[in-house]
Amino acid sequence: MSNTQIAIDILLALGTLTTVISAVAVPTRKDLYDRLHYLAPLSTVAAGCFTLAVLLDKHLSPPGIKALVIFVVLAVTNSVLAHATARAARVRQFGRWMADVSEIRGNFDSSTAGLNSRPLVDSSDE
Amino acid sequence: MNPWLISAVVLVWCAIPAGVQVFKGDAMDRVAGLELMSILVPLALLLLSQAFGRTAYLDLAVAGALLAFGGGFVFVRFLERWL
Repeated sequence: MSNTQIAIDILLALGTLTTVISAVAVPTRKDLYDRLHYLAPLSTVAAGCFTLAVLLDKHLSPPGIKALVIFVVLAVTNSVLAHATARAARVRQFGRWMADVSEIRGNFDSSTAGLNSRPLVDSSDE
Repeated sequence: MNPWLISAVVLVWCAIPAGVQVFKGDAMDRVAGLELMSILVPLALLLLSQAFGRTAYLDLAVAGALLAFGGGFVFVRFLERWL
C-alpha cells in the first residue's frame, strides 16, 4: 500500500467520522441555533477531507477539479444559508428583526438571555 | 468493497438522522434537517463517483450543491416573511 493510498484512507476516515458526528448531533441538540453549528464541520472539514482525497487520487484532472468546485460551493453556500436560517428563526421568534433583545426587555435584564426566550411584548401590538 | 464505497455507504446511512430531524420539531427545525441532507447528498455522490469510477455522478453532485443552496435560501426567506 503506497503512502498516497494511506493518506487517502486517513482522509476518508476523518471525513466520514466528522460526517457521522455532525449528522447524529443535529437531531439531538436542543434548539435550532445549536443544530446550525453542526452543519459547518460537515461542509468544511468533511467536504475538505473528501475533496483532498479525490485530488490525491485524481490530481487536477476534470474529476479533481469538479470535486474542488463541490467543496468551494458547499463551504461558501452553507455559511450563507446557515446565517439566513438563523436570521429567519430570530425574526420568527420576535416577530421582526432586532439585533439586541434588550430593546424589548430592558438593559442588563438578567431574565433575557436565552436564544429560546420569548419577547415580553407581543409583536402584533406594534 | 473499496474505502470510497465504505465512506459513501456510511454517508447514506447518515441520511437517517437528517430524516428524523425533518419529521420532528417546527418548520425551522425541519429546515435544519433539509440543509443537513442537502450537504450529505453531494458528498455521497462525490464518493460514489470515485467508488464506481463514474465521473458523470460528479456533474449531478455539482448541480445538487448549487440547487440546494437556491432551494434552501428560498425556503428560509419564505419562512421568515410569511409563515
